[in-house]
Amino acid sequence: MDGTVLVADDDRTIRTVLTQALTRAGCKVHATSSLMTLMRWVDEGKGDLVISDVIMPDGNGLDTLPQINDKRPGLPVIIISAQNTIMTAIQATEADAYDYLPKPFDLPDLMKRAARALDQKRRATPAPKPSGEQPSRPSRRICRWWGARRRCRRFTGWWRG
Amino acid sequence: MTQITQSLWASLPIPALIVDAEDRICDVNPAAETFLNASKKSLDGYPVWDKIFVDAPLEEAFSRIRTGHSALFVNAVDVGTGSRKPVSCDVQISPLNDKPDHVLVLLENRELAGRLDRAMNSKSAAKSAIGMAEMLAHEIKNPLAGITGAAQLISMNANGEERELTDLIVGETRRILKLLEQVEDFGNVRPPEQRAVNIHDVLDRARKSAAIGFAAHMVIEDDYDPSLPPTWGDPDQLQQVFLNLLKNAAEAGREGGTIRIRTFYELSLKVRRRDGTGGAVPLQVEITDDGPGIPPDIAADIFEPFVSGRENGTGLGLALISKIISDHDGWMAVDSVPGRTVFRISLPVAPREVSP
Repeated sequence: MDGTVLVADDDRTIRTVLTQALTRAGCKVHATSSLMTLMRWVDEGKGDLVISDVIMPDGNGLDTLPQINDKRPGLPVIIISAQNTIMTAIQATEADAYDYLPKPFDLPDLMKRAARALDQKRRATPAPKPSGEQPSRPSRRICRWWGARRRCRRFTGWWRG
Repeated sequence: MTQITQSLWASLPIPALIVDAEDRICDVNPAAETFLNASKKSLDGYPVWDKIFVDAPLEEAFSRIRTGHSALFVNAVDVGTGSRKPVSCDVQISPLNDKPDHVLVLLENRELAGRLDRAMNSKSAAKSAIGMAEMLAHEIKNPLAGITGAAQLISMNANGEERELTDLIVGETRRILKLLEQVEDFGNVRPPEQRAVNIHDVLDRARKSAAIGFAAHMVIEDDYDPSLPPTWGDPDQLQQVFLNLLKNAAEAGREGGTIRIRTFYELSLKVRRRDGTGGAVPLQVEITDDGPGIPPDIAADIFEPFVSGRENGTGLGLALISKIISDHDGWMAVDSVPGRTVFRISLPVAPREVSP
């Protein structure tokens, strides 16, 4: 797994965990607690993958997705969020996020998805905007994930005292 | 009595009696007839102390009131009627204006008031506790993500013993997450989709799945009143309520213990609906178990969220039931002594025009 990953999360523990995990896996990592810094790195052409939180001190991570898509088409963005509602999943889908993971995420799972995103980015040269025909269309993946999660939760004993 | 006084006397919701100078009952209102479980005819003219048994020296109070012409309030008096166990009442005694040797006795049932109070308090406490827990859920997920991630990162280079510990950290954080999801689900209970529902169909479905599953070690008996009219409810939510109550009963009961499901009609209780009007809840479902009972220290708060008598219980089960029943404009109560715990659900009848 190689490439440069931009991590934007205002929680220091998450930045530490992701930086260490991705570095150990062979990636270069830039981590920040600010969306402004993230956008500067994107503008400068840094990064092959973005992993971003939603609620940040200087804005909403989902709002930056259209700008990232405009400036760097094909740069995959994985959204991670503790605001785990269907609305967040829908917004991530509509904004063409590569993937969406609720917090607390499973680290090996996140690493797999990051590796897949980096691999696709590397193979997609020159990077086109994802078309509807691509098998890995992000919106479908997010919807599948959300559907599976709702199905699973329906059968857990959530109302047991 | 004038017509208005008569109507006032008849509609007074508090049991009231008038006692003459010889301590004989000379009038009772309909609420007192219900409370004493006796007709006016069978009470009028009888010595009051033959019909009502109290654990306070009210005879002396009567003579003091007659001589002093002042009212008296005695709280928390156990009032028995001979035919049922004593009920804790607040008793108000006051001399009649035009006949000072006659006294008016008002008996206010404290248990009912207390229970209703608790139900209302518990509803608002549930709302605030859940609201706060929902807000916290978001704040807790960030550190949880850090803890899980750090543990999983350590486990990548860990040996067997160390991995056992990192797995423990991940497992325990997942447990916290599950609790958070339950809290979020609690806040997301949709409003009931109400229609006319045969309560026995719902109970039978819940009973069958209990009998082959979690309550297989118990004997389940039923005592249904087949003439009950349909209730106005959401069958899925009501089934959740009954399944959860049966599960509680099964977990409380010992191997071979008995769970009893009883349905009956009782038109004595009205609850305040969400729109502020009063609604009757005459359909009664009681689920009784013969387990050890609810620990006394939590009995008063058993419908509050996060109150549980069981190890590893989240304390959301009964709080959720309470919320669903309250959304149905129903009422729920519990009466527990060692060896006998009764959960009672009181539900409204479906409006006549939609009944099948």
